[in-house]
Amino acid sequence: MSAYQAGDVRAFERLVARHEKPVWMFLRRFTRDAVAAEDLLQEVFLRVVKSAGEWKRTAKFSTWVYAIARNLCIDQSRRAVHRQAQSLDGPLKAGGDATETLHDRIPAVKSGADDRLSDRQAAARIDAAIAELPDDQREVFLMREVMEMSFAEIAAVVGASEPTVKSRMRYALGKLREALTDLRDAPAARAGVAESAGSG
Amino acid sequence: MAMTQDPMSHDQIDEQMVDFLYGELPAAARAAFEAHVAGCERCRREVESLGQVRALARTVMDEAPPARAHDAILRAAREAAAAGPAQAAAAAKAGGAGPAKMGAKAEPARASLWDWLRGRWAFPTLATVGAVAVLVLGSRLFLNPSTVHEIGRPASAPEPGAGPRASEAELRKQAEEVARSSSARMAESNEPRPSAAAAAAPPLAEAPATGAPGAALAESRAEKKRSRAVVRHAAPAAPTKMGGAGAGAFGSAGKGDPLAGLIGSTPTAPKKSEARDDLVEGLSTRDGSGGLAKDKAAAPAGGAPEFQDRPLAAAKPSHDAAPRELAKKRARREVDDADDEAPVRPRAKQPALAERSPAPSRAYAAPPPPAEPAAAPPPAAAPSPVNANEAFADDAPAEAAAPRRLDRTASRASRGGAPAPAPASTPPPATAMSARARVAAADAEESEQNQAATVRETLVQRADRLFTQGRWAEAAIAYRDLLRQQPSSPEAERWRRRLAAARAAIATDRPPPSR
Repeated sequence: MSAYQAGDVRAFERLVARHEKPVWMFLRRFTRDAVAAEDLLQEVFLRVVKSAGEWKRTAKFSTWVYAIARNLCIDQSRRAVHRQAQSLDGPLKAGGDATETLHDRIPAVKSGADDRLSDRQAAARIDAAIAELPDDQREVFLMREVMEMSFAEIAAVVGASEPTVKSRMRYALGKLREALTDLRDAPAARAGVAESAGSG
Repeated sequence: MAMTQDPMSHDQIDEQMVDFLYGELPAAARAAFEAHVAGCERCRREVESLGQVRALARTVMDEAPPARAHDAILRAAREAAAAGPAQAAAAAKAGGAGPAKMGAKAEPARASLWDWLRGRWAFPTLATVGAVAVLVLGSRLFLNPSTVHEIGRPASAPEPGAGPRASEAELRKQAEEVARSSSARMAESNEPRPSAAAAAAPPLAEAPATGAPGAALAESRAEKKRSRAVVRHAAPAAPTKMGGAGAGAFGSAGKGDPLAGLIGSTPTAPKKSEARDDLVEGLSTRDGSGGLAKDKAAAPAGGAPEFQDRPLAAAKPSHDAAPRELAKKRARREVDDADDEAPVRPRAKQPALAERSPAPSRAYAAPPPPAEPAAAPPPAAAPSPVNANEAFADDAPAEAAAPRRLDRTASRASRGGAPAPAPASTPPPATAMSARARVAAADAEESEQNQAATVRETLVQRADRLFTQGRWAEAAIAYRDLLRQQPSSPEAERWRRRLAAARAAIATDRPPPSR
């Protein structure tokens, strides 16, 4: 960032290359809207360009960028408050059984060779499970999993204590586990156990 | 596994679970955690299940951003760097309106008329201004009373008092009628000999003839104040139309007199001096002769055609004083021109001005003066005594006003031979001198006549006024006194009738039907 402040555009390109994907993932999961996430992604780095002169060397660039992304997401959520997010557990409004929920329409994952998990279906269920998390838990989960921020950094960004952030993370993991119980036997899940336990 | 050797409880494991999963547990705590999990099936399954959730979530966390967004970001960064820090901020601001504009070239902000009109506030503001303008114009066009009355009405249709001009004409007409009847009644009350018009007039003098001395002083003052207020708002056109009757009506305008309101409603206000002249004229006619004198003066002049149809016979007194009055007016105007050079008198000296008030107002000055009357009486050397009513023409007491009046008359008589500044329209000095002499003579004659009739007239006027005002007891006393003093008066019969009516009203506590 210091190099970009000195006029090195390529330094900014490296910053973008490093943080673009996590920011995108965070925005994508947080907003649950690909179009809005794309707009916000441009806006985040536009803010970086605009505020390049204000950045201090003492600040961590990733924390600064993610804080910008989070604030933009919150603003976007307020603007789009009129949009009714469809609940997985709520009854579908149009068509179908009155008691049918969106969760019911997501195909259940069945173990076995003949009934293998479809990556696409699994991804949809995981996305839906993440989207169902409360905002405070979802942002902590995404910051940790996607942006790989430490709990201390997350606590600084969201303005909460570190134990609170960890508690939110614990609740988020528990809810995802409940939502994705039948997926845990999938090869990807089994393969990720050792990695997640070891890498943290 | 020996659980007894594990110092950690399940609650402690739960507290450190997130730190363990994400590798933030210190090494010593991690070792203890792993030791516990290795010996505890429940905690081991917990760690495995949460690890599987993390692994599942990561399977969907590997998604690259759209290439167009990446390109737009880099393009904006390059442009900002090329433009410099200041313009970078401007470019960022310009792009802030929408991320899609980020790749567009930053252009200097231009505010064209169309951009201004497209502003969020422009159209509502213009619409509001336009609506207000339409309302204002519409209200002025369609809510104007005169316009509204004229809309849809044929040009020949009568205007029943809609417009102010129609109202003015109507009011003037009514004022003329009222003044005419008032003059007739005044003539009836003043004229000892009942003329034909007086006989045709109503027997009751409804016009509250005021100005009686003595007991009526307070009422006279109050009426003077009211008349003054009316006169100050009177237009010169009104007396022009109404003539002497209007001026006389000023003097007789009492409570509830419709003429006062009519005169006050004339649109054009007169000059202060003219109004004062009218006021003084009106006040000077409280003896009942001034207003008639004006009528008499206007009648032979013939310069005011609107007076031709007036019942002049009713207003004409027994002696033909009109030519003499005109001569007096002309002469007094000359004298007043000289008086104008004197310092302004205070308000208390209005009674002195009242004396010259019979000089015609502007309405009477318009017609050319008639020929000098051949039978003008010779000039009287002695100053005429003061008319008692003139002393009451203003708030000044009679004993204070009378000496001034005498001085004024005396000074006027002494100035008879003195050269006076003659206006351009006045006759030669010799004629003016003779006019002054005639004025003095006329004053003397008039005063003699008035002096003899003043006591009777004022009593008659007071009685009539009391009767008109419904003060039956006082009216009865006044008529009784009149009958005692002048039992053979031509009006004695009328007084008797009124005395009887007043007594009947006292007895029945109801006004007589003839009132």
